[in-house]
Amino acid sequence: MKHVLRALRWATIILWILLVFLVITLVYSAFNIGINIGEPQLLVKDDRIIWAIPARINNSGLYGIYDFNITTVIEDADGVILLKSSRFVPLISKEETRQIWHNISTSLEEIPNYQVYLTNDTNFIIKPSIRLNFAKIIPFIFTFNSTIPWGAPLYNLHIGEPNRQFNATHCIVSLNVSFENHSPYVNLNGTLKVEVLNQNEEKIGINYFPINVPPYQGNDNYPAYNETLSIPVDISKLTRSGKIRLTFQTSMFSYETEVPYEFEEIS
Amino acid sequence: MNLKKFPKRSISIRILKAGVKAILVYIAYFIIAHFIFTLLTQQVYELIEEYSFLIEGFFIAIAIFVFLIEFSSGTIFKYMLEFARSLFVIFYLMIALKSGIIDVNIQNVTLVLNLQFFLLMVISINLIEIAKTVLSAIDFLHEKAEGELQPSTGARI
Repeated sequence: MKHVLRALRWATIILWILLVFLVITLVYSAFNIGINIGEPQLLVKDDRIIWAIPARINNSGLYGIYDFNITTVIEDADGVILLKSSRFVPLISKEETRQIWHNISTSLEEIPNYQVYLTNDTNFIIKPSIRLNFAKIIPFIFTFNSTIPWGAPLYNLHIGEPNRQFNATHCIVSLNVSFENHSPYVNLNGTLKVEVLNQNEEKIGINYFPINVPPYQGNDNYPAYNETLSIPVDISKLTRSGKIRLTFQTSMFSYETEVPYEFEEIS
Repeated sequence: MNLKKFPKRSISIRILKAGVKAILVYIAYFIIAHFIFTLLTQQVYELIEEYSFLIEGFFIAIAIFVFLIEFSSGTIFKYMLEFARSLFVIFYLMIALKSGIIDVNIQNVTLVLNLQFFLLMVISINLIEIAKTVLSAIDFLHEKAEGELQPSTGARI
């Protein structure tokens, strides 16, 4: 009995010493880990929007960091996931400093219902989360969320009432188009295709107009587009009503919208 | 515990000894807490602030156990209290650490820490302590019974 009790006493003493040693070294190591997440940078490259988040991990502790994973989810205001991106680092050894870039790259057309965001300003919720397994015994998850404002490149798109004018040979349909570019990332450089369709959905006139609206620079005035566009139409096929189709074609996106027209009878 | 068996002086010494041990445990808590809190930044301190009363409560309970165990040393109650202390440590840590998964939310920051490994280690050590306490109690009772059965001096077979 005495030997058994002595063995058990020693076992508990050794286990307590091990546990205390482990706790002290882990706490010491945890306080010597520095994870600095820098300001996200927004870049536009090859017609893609890139959120580049720099992270610097300095492991000055006594144990390695395993399965380091940064995941970023971007959601709209209703919580719908628009984008998700991850960066995985299998091991950051002790006494190692690692600089990583966590990139979230997308083209506008990859975002679900992206056309809504072309004409409406909103706030996106950005949720980065860091997962790691410290010393292979303490799994750890750290998440936070912040919002980033989204400026619509075709904000307040307004298409005026179409008018028609006749000359000796042609009929010219004209309409006013205006919008503001609230986006600091999107350079609206492309063409605006305007098609006039008659009651029978026949294309009776088409014209292309260059658009070049620079990104919003952050000052009080938003870059704006306000032009009256004229489209010559085939007078023989012109009907009283129909529709006008406008297609914005830029390297980053394509956006189509239609407006109906109804002209008065020619007396 | 039959206190009438102990002389008054012995009881005073027991109380003094038990009190000193309990105070030492509480002082140790203050030193450890001070050491840890000086390492913490304000943000980390805010994260663990809600657990500070749990840690303090744990040390107060342990100090009380130390006092009672010391006071009842030499009796079977000592082993009963040691048994109770081990059970208390197991259940308290399981409840306080939410089975090892600590989830802290502050404003827009969420922190999830998995301490199941430590909980498992503490439970294992305390289970060994329980086994040791039970065996010690048996040994104590055995020795006591043997002592009572000792033949008186000068007895003849």
